[in-house]
Amino acid sequence: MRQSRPADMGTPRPEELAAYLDGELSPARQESIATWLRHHPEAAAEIEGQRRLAGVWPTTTPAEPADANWASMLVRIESAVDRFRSARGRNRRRIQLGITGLAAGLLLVLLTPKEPGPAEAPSAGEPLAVVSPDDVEIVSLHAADRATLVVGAAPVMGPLVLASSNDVELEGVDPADDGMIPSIHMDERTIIPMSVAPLDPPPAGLPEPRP
Amino acid sequence: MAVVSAPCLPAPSDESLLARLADGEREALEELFRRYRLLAYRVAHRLLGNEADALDAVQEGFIKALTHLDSFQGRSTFKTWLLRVVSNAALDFGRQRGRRETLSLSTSRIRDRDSMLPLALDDPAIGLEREDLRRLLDEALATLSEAQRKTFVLHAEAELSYREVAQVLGISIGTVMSRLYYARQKLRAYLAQRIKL
Repeated sequence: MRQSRPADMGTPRPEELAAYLDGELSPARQESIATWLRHHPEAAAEIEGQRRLAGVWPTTTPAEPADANWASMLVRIESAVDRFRSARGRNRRRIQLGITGLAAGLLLVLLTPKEPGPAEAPSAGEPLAVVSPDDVEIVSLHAADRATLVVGAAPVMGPLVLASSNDVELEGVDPADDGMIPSIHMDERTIIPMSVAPLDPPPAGLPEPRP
Repeated sequence: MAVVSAPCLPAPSDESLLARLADGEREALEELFRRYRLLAYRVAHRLLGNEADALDAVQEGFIKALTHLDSFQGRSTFKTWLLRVVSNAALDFGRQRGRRETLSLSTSRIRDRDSMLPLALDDPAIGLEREDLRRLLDEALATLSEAQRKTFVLHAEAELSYREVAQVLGISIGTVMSRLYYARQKLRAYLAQRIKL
């Protein structure tokens, strides 16, 4: 078993020697290192040299710059700090605007009703089937509106002839109480076919029915 | 007629000055600048070896410190935080401008004049001027590693405690102490070849 020699007992580490020089050790440790140094002249010379270095150091303190240097430096520092604050203020405003815009957009998306997805949407030009033709029964329709029909079929696609001129012999027409029966002036030789649901303009040569 | 002396108001703390600075009070910035400019300058000068670069480093350090107060979380004092920023700025300047070359040129006159003979500091006949001694110390500092130089300067020039130096550099107190020992050893050896130390 190896044993330390008495002279090596308590050999201070470098950090302890630094603290010894600065007087930062406990009194007991300070004294034990002083004792150790008395038995180690080379180490003692080193510590003494370092002590003298510490004494020389304060005598070489750099001279203070002129007041003008400080004054101009302060102006530059203040200017830099002001610029930094202005830039930071602008950046903060931009960030706030960005966040506000993002929130508004998000809110808009959330509040907008959902539309059918792309797979369900009809292709361009394809009519949107709301009801089938069988669901609608068109009772009457003006001829001019026929082109606007999106579903169903017009009740009458052309002139509806209920009777030919040979089938009917008019002895006279009297206006009805509601005025819906046209008043036609008849004579013995003129026979006009009666038609209903005049979806198309009457044939050329025929008089327009009066309202 | 009775003379009434106004009570001496205590100087505002760094914390209160920083709070006023955050509110945009320009006087608070000026007070912080006046309070620490010389200390910061001395540290920068020791790290760089000349006045012009040291002034640039101090200005850069103050600007960085005052525009990044959000990074200062109050775990250390403003003084130690500022010195950290200033010393980092100084070393950055040193790297950019080649501190060692500048120093070796400026101190070559000492070697030429004295022919490398050991000089006694306390011998008036030798007449080693203070400025020459300072330049010799600057040259000795330039032989240290950046870590040793910063540790030594913060302790010797800024008079920071071991704990404060450890806070500034983000290292343990034990590392501060060992760096101090080896830095002093190297400085002493360098100077001992040139002056009687």
